[in-house]
Amino acid sequence: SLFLFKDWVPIIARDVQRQRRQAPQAPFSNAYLSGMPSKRRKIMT
Amino acid sequence: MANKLRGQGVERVMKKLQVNIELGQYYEAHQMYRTLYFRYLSQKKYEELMTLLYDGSVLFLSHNQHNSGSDLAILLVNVLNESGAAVSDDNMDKLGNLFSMMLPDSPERTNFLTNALKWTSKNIDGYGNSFGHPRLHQSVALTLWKEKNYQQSRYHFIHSTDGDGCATMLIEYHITKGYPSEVDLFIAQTVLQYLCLKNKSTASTAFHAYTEKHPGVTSGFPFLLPLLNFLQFLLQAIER
Repeated sequence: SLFLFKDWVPIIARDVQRQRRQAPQAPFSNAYLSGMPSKRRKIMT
Repeated sequence: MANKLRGQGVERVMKKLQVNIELGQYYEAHQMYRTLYFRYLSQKKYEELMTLLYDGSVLFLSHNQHNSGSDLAILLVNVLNESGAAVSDDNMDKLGNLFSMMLPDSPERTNFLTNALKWTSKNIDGYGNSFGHPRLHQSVALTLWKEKNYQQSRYHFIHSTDGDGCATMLIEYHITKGYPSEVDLFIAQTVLQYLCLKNKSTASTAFHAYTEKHPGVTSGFPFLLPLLNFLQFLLQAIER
């Protein structure tokens, strides 16, 4: 039930705030992109 | 010739071939291996033949005779296929060892690995996938990691059950080749890929090892980075 997840609430609330302030995503490194499946990689680059 | 050889036994033949190789008579030795391959195969002497090919391959590879060594390694996989040999730890460890001895960028190595993995996915128990056995993937991943071929190493770790090894490799990969801002992305990508392959226990092991050992992850749970908390919750939600 949802009750089991109640410890999560303050953490998620804090993370919601943090994500509002988060800087836009910088370009990805080749090292990271090389882990993508090849089709997905084509869309990303 | 045939009768004579039949009486000699594998050990004696091996000794003769070893002498050939020590003397640098590689061509002769290689041809003799091939002759024995066809003869033993038609006689269905699979056990002897596999011993012969494995030892021969190791012998050539340790003498820098990569073409001959790889050729025998590929013949060994053919015998495993033809004989219906059990996918045992011992057999897979031998294949893993041959892989580690081959030249990193040779087409023979790729060919060998493709065939070896295909063989291990036959009559596989409990894994039910066509990607190849996790144990061989792990062995190959560790070799590629040593060679700093992180990209290929990661691919094979994803198909293994070695979450701890995968995490340690990923930390090294991220620190040396990734951007600091990607500290959470590297593990997120890996966890999600493990989950896509329905391997939640390895996903969880990799996540915990990565977040504990990465010097860039300064606090434990709850983490400073929202994406890491998301992964923690995701793994917990899947468990429940």
